[in-house]
Amino acid sequence: MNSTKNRLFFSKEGVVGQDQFAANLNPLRKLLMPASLVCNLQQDRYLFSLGIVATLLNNQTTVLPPSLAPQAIVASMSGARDPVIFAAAPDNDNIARRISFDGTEMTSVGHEDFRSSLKDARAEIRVFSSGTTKHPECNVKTWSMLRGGAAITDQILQGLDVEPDSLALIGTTPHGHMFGLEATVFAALGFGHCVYRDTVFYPADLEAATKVARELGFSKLVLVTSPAHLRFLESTILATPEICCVLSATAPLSRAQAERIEARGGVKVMEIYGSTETGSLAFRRTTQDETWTPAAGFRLVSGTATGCTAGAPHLPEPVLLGDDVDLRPDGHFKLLGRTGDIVSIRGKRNRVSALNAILVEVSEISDGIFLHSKRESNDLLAIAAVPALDNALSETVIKVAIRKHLLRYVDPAFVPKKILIQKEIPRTPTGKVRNEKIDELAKQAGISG
Amino acid sequence: MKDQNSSENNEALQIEVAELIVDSLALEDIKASEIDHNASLFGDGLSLDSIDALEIAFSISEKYGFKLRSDDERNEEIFSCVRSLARHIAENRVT
Repeated sequence: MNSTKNRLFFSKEGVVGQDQFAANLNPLRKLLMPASLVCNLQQDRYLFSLGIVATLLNNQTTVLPPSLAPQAIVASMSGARDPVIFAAAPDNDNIARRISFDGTEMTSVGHEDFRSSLKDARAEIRVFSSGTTKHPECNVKTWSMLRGGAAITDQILQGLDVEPDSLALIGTTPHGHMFGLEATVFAALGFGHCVYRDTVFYPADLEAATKVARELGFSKLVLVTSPAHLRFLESTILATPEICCVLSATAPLSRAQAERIEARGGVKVMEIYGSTETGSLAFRRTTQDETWTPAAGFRLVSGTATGCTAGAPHLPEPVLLGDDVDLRPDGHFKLLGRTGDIVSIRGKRNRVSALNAILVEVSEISDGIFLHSKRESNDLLAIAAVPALDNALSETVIKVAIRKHLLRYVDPAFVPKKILIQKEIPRTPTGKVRNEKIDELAKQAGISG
Repeated sequence: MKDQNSSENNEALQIEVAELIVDSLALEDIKASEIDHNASLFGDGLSLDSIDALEIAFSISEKYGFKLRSDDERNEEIFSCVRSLARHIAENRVT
């Protein structure tokens, strides 16, 4: 069944072509059909993609939780009558019924034309971004919106001037989050690019993936990654001449690092800007461009009271950006920094107000506040907390309780290692904490300046 | 006698691993001697995240000359605490 044409995914098990993908769809559609909503937690990009297309063809809703924290998974499925989790591992079997699928069951009549069937599909794929409460905000996507976001990846890949059959993508970014979803899964589903099934994490994983790619005849590779991963993968990239392009989310990416990688020769480092709300919307070549170029179809409009908006034919309406922008007359723009209380750590974003809403629910404390120090790339976070009056717990026990509680709701990146135990949080009579008081606590926690 | 030496070596390696974690992650407010060698490195223990694991793996490859891989089914166990990480290093170290 492995076709050498129309290759969509590859792994050490071989190549999966469009024919196998199409033949796997009907059995999976049948399995998923009774569910009202499908929470897709597949780690294998091929099975994940099958799940996405099967639910879209079934006109079912897919949810992709913001993290693997149990409460994040529960919250993403709230209100659904008979939700299922589509996953290989039993990690969340206590949350909802699990459906697994290993890809061995196929039918002779498949959905080779699934792309044209999905062109006008209205079924929802729900992705989440941080709101101002403890509950993440739901962003509804459709096939055309996610394909529209992946168009920027396709545009960059087309510009590499490489024979399409020899090109493959390897990703380090989680495909359940917007950048990885668009730049790997929808690059395959929407545009037919061939993508590595497994997630690359350690440098040895990248070495193994490139070896597999070489054996399968892929001579040019694109690494889809983030600045947080790139730091550890640099020496492997330098030693792998097949990698002809690094496609990184911005956090931002260090220009010096991009220059070191491009100095190897035969490799371009491209950076992509976007958000959960907009999808990927602009790109730049980090070594050459100060400003960002919007992807084809995107238009930014500044001058509104609240900030800059981005609109595109595949978005239902213009979206307010989470960054301040200096928009040039030619449509290119410069990023000036994040707006409001948005925290960015290792490319992941959250809001201080949302984190505080979760923190105050810790029963072992009577008050608490997140302390936030903005940085160009990785922000610093700490917590100031006041033990509950009626407890005589040690500081260690209280800190463990805080971390345990936060981990039920948010990605570990937002769980600070620094927790200050205080007698009180210096609030005003209206309950606010003045900026200068927050600065003092941040200084005490060693995260200011 | 051999068992005693092996146990002492393992204890020394655990202390070394705790120091490697503190140094590679620049944990300013945690001393290596304060880390419980049986406590969870992730979750409610040291509350490390995936990039912290990458940082630790990078330091391990530099110091002990072997590389960790995602497809190792024992990864969860290896990274469960300082003691098990030290055991894995002892079994695989090249330098």
